[in-house]
Amino acid sequence: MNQAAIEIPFFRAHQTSERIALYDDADSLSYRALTEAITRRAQNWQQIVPVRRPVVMMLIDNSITSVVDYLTALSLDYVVLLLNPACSLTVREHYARSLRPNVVIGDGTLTVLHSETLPTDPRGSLLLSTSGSTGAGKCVALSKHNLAANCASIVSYLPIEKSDITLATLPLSYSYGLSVLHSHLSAGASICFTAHSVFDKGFWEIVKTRPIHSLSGVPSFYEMLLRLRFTKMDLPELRYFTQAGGKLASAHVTQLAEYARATDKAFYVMYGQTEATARMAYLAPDKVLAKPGVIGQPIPGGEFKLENVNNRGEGELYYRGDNVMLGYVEQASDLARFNPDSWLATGDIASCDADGDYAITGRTKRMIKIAGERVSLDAMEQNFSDKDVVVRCVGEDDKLVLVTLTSQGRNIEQRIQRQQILPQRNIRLASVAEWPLLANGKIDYQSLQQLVVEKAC
Amino acid sequence: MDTQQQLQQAFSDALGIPAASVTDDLTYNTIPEWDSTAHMILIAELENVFDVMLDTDDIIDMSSVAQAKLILQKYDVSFG
Repeated sequence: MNQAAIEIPFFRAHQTSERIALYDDADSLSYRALTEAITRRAQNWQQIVPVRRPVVMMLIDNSITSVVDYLTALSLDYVVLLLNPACSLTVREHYARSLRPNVVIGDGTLTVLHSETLPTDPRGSLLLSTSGSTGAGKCVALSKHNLAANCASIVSYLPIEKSDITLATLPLSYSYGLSVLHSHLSAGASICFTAHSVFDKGFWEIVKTRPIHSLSGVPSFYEMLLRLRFTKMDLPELRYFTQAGGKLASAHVTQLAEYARATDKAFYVMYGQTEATARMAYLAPDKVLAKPGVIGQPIPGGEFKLENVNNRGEGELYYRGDNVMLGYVEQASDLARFNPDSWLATGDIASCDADGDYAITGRTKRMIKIAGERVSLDAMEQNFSDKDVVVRCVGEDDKLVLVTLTSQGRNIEQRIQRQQILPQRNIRLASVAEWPLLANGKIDYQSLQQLVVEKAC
Repeated sequence: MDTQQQLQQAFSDALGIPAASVTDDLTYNTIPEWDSTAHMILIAELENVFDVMLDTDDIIDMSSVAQAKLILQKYDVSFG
């Protein structure tokens, strides 16, 4: 096979730098060494991969070798689906069937599955699952232009410095985690991985001695930090921390903002979605204390609009920008051609205040987030009905409520318990005498939600 | 309920495992039920049950049931 020149994304300006690009618990790699590692791996893959533009299923963990794999695939213009190695075999098999990948890469090995050339839109480069590790949801297709545009916006508003080391605790299979990698590579800064969790001594040793200059996390990460008395810690090198991936309780936002103010750090509350590559908005850190619960304004290059606004000023939130995805992919044939929409319907309900800052007030889609990962309530119901169990799903973030009919009896509970899709702590069972229905005969989920969720609170 | 039973119950509730499997050598991150999220719930549960406010270092050191007992003793909780 001809060896085409490769184009390494994100850090063209730093390819010969001796600065450290990546750290993990055992190793580190300079930008120069990273460039060499990608170049070598690219030459190697070009010899063994039988297709010019393969569809690749890649299991990516937070390690130096996974980053080399991922950047090599982008450099060779492959079409890459990133999966969390924690995802189940069922999820992998689902994607292997539906997307017909030519190659599977993970755990240090590359396996060729077939050498048929699948028609792919030249813009499609990256596929990210919309359901994290909890299921085999449809994928979001992103172009290299999407990645570069979102990365440039993020670098322009976050105070990332070349001398920074960030601790990448979010999975790289998740758009927010990936954006931390991209933006730091682009700034020529360092990304540090660790196997330690926040409840390990090793984690805080790294934060203090590496030292770490910035942290990023979803609400559950900050709930853990607060539980650990993060706001009492003396971390002079930590300059800023960012939160996205769902709504953090306003009381927690305020605690973190007060800590940031008292210790001369910056706290960024941000808003995004995989459909927008990662980021869509952020709240200026100096406003966080005054406006907890607000997502702020669009990132540079982005634009919001509200549609179908009600008398309280709340409407469906739409976003436009170069980071809006190409489209969704459910099967291999969807890769052939994309017709991207210019406006992305976020599925969120929002309002906008006099300063132009937006706040999310609800959702139009039937979904909740569990530990920052999206869970479709309809898909969850489908999962049960596939096993002949009639369950209706409602709930709120981190709390899925599985509703059955009282007449289904107690043994239904045991059948539900056997479907361990989510951690027990995120599930509650409830029953109703009959399903509330809309005029058209469909389930009235709003009423059902009120019956079993809001009553219990 | 004595403090030993209270401790077992707190672990059992927080981790979602039977009280009988809460033995001294049960250790953080060695069973799927005791992951970092469960650890956070466990700390909240222990603070509630024993009416204490744990330090960062104690939360991090609480990596087994035996450790939990040792640490709680510093907060004047005794295990017969």
